Amino acid sequence: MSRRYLIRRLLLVVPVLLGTILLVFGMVFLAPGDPIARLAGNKPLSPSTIAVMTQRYHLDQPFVIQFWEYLKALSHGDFGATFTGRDVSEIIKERFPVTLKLAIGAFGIELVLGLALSIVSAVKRRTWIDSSILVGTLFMITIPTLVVGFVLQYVFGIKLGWLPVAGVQAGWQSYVLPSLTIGLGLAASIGRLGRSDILDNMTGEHIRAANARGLPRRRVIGHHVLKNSLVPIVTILGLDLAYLMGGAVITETIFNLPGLGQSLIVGVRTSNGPLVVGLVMLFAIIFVFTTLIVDLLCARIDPRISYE
Amino acid sequence: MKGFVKVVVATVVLVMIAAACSSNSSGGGTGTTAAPGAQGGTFSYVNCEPSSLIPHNNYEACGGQVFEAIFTRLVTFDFTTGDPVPAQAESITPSEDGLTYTIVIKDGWTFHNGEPVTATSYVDAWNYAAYGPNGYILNFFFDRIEGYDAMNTDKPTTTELSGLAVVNDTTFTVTLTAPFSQFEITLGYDAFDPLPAAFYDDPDAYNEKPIGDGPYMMDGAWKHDETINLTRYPDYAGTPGNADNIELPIYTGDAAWADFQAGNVDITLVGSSHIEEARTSYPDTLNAQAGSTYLYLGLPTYDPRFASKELRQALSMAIDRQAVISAILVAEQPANDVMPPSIAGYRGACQYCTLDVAGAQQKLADAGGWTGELTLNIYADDQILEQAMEAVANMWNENLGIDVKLNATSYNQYSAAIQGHKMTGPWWDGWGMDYPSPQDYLTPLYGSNGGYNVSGYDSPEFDALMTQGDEAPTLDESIPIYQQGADMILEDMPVIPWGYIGFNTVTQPTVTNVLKEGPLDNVALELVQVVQPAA
Amino acid sequence: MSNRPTSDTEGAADPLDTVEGQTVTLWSDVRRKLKRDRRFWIAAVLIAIFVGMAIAPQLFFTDSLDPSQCELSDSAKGPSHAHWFGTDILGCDYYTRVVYGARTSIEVGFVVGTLIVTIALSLGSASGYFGGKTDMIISRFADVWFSVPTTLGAILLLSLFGGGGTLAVALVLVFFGWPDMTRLVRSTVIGGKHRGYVRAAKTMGSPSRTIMRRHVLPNGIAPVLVFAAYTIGGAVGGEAGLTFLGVGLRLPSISWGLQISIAQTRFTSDPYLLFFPSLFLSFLIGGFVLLGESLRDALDVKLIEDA
Repeated sequence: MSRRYLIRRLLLVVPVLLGTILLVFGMVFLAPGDPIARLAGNKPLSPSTIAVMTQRYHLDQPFVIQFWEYLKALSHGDFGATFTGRDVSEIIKERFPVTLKLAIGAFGIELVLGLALSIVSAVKRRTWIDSSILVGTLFMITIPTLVVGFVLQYVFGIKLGWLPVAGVQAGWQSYVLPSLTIGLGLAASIGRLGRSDILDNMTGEHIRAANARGLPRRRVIGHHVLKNSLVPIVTILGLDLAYLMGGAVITETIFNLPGLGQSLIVGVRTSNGPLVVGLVMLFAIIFVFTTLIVDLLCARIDPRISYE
Repeated sequence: MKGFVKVVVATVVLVMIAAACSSNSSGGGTGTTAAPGAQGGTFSYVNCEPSSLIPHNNYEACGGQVFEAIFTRLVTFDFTTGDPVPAQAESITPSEDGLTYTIVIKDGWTFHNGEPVTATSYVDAWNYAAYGPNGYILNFFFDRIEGYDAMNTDKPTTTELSGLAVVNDTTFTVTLTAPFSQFEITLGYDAFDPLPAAFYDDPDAYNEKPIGDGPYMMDGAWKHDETINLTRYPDYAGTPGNADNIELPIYTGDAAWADFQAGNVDITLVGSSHIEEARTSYPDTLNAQAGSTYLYLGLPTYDPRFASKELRQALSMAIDRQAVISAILVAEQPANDVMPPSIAGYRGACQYCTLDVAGAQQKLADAGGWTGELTLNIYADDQILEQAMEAVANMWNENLGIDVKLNATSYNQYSAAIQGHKMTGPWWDGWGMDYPSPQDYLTPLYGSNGGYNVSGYDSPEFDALMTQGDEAPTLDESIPIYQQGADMILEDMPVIPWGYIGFNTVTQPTVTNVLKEGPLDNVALELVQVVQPAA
Repeated sequence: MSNRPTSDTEGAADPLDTVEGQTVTLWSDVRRKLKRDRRFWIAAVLIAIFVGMAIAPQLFFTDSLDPSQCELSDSAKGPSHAHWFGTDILGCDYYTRVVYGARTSIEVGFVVGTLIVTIALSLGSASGYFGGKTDMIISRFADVWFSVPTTLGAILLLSLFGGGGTLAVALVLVFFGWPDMTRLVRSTVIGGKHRGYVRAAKTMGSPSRTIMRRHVLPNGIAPVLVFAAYTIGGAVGGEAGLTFLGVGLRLPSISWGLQISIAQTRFTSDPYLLFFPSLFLSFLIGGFVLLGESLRDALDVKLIEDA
């Protein structure tokens, strides 16, 4: 890939991130209601407490000032403090590993199971194996995540007692059911997508040529078919990974995983503006960089892309 | 209690409903005492993430349950009668005019770091919390003490309440700006906890590993969003706790119930979504009691359409509370007074709180009927509550022929409309006490200067009764006076009493003696006994 | 088929790539392929049933089942002869409630699908066709929205502003969902721009609007159709997810998301409450997934390289 392409892509990240911060910050700023009043539910906070809090969070300042203050702090990696006085950066630092582990688990299942399903069903196309994979994957794609989560939790956690049902106290085992909850659906869609992609490539000219030359079938599939099917699948996988890093809100809620997604929902429910802005911002940053890396990776696999 | 209106029936944030603001330790030895030999062991109780572990800066139940174990405050409450009894205090004596209280504390008590608990431990902590620029959430609890105003101006010139004076190591005096017969009860709240000198060195560090004077101490630092672990404080001067260690794992949602079912946690609270299951699966250990949060439907008496008390009574009589609670809000109990049963002064005296269709129609006719649509307001994001309010809407429609529309808004808009007197119809609301006194269920809600007088009720007669109750020389004498005020509210109905949030515990067979702390919505952690496997 | 009338950026030579015959051949070919595709028929039947439910729900049950007849004493009774799907916690007949839920999902899907396609076609083709500054501005604008994941953005916006009805939820899904397809259209158009017939038309001096309408867009419509099917399926699922999280629809809306959300609190005691709306939701989303897949294969579209 050309260095110019790389530099151009990197430079583009800056205005996009600025725009994203403005977008998220603007939404929270414009939201109606007084976030401070919320801190004590329906109890009356004393005027002096309200005054101190208002000042501490710059809430009495116009939008431009608040935004500027936020950007300034953000530029040294400071995401501000929540209304209950915790550093958002600290919360992120604490919760990110949980989300990362969940993302890796789910992604691993997506990758391994997804590719396996797609290869098996493509190779065994139009057999009963292929048909059952197709029906099964369709089922997995359409069934809502939360239903998958509840069923897994109930069957394997509560009834059979094989795996932990909540929290992260049990180490890696805590991540098995949550990872499956997300990973199965993702693997199913990779399976279906990969199948048709591989089939497309298997009927291509060069494959026919390779077959005609009498190359072993395994080699044909491994070498020619998979390589050609790689770019679209890597793109999809990359996007999925980016979304996964953004925290699986529903899954983390069901399994009580102290990750970023769970924190976001708590922040939203308690109108904790600084927390919500910080988290969404982090997701956007992760997202932008993950997609950037994926783009660069694809350009590497298929050099034609960088000419665009 | 933080955001409690929102979470009253929230199935998702179940644990936050656990308690009203109060919590305390009964280290003074009230309640059931442990059978000898029942000491030791470790148990776990479902908790939620506290907003802070500095008691003076916390206004929710997640922290309250922790403070219950790590602090012993001046006053606790008798489990059966609910009366205040001295705990860390030796005696609390009001002066003749009711303005000055002399508080003597027990000698020889220490904080978990070995520092002695002295009169200064209290006075300094209260001064710190009452000082405006510190911005502590419970700041307003000190507004009855002399000198509060001077500490809460734009530029306070003093950092000490003039009403507090240290007499000697174990004695201090508190001077109020006006007599307040319930003052002793308020001392059972976390706002009046003592703090060790170590706190002032680094409040942020303290927050991560608070040091109290209670039967249990922190076992390691607060593991945010994961767990808070406690261990018995060996040098505790009161009655020691039964278990050796307590784990308070932190949950944010329904997962707590799943984890309990899987046997991973010993004690949990049950909300509306799971109480049916609890009844069938854990019939022996389910303990359903009325909690201290009082739920009601607010009415905008400032809106001329709601000015008639007959109309308000009609709306109340047209609802079948028990039917809605049986079907939907299963964990609650229907209201028959303006305060819950655990409060001294409760009588169950509401005459308009049960379904009476004919009576309701008569009252509506007396009030001149109702024209147009009635808006029933709820906050968004609690679907179970919505179902319940849909049922209420149907009842008003069927029994009174009123066309009712549900209107849901975001919580912030909702509470702004409530507090700004901008509601156009009844709304779902609730009140959690700060201290178990009838006064706390009356003055803030209906007094003309009440902190949460959202219905706009304004009655000089009621105000006078409240003042009279506050000035009563003893607690016992104050109660009948407050009850007269309650009678006025039950007749005038500025709000429609709805119910009480249930405080429902279920336990595994591994633990016994799980008790609700009298009028307070906490589990008395120090009394829980771990069942030791037979040797 | 190694050569596809697709969004390939380098604009591979295409046997169908002739100015006049192109569209005709493409569409008759597509029709033939779809007719043979079982997935297409399953999708068509599923979607038709649900659209029917949305337009005339009363056709799906007899008069004896009145959705407004609710008895609290009948709360959460399991499936029976009188109530095929049992009753919900308000004591209403669950079958009729679930049938009524189709309307919301179809509405959300329709609004989101239409708006996103419209936005994507106009912004995406403008961006791709004109290139330069126009492209730069539109693309960066899209990138900003693209970088906020739809679910997160929607949660934020809906919770801050108190959510609302079907339209509000649909608009929020559009608000954060439009960049994906816009990017797709853009790259399709860029791909198409370099094709022979477009260059020919340009050389012959046709105004850009005509070129775009007659040549670039028809060629680009295939991936849009496919993507629209997925988008609608995604929107239906998105509404249910947001409603489940408590920021989407609420009463008096009748929505599967709402039913699922209430049912999940009673999952272990009354699993049927969760089962039926989930089943309907799965069937509807499945319909759109199958439609998308059959269209993709029939139109021989590749979505991914450039999306």
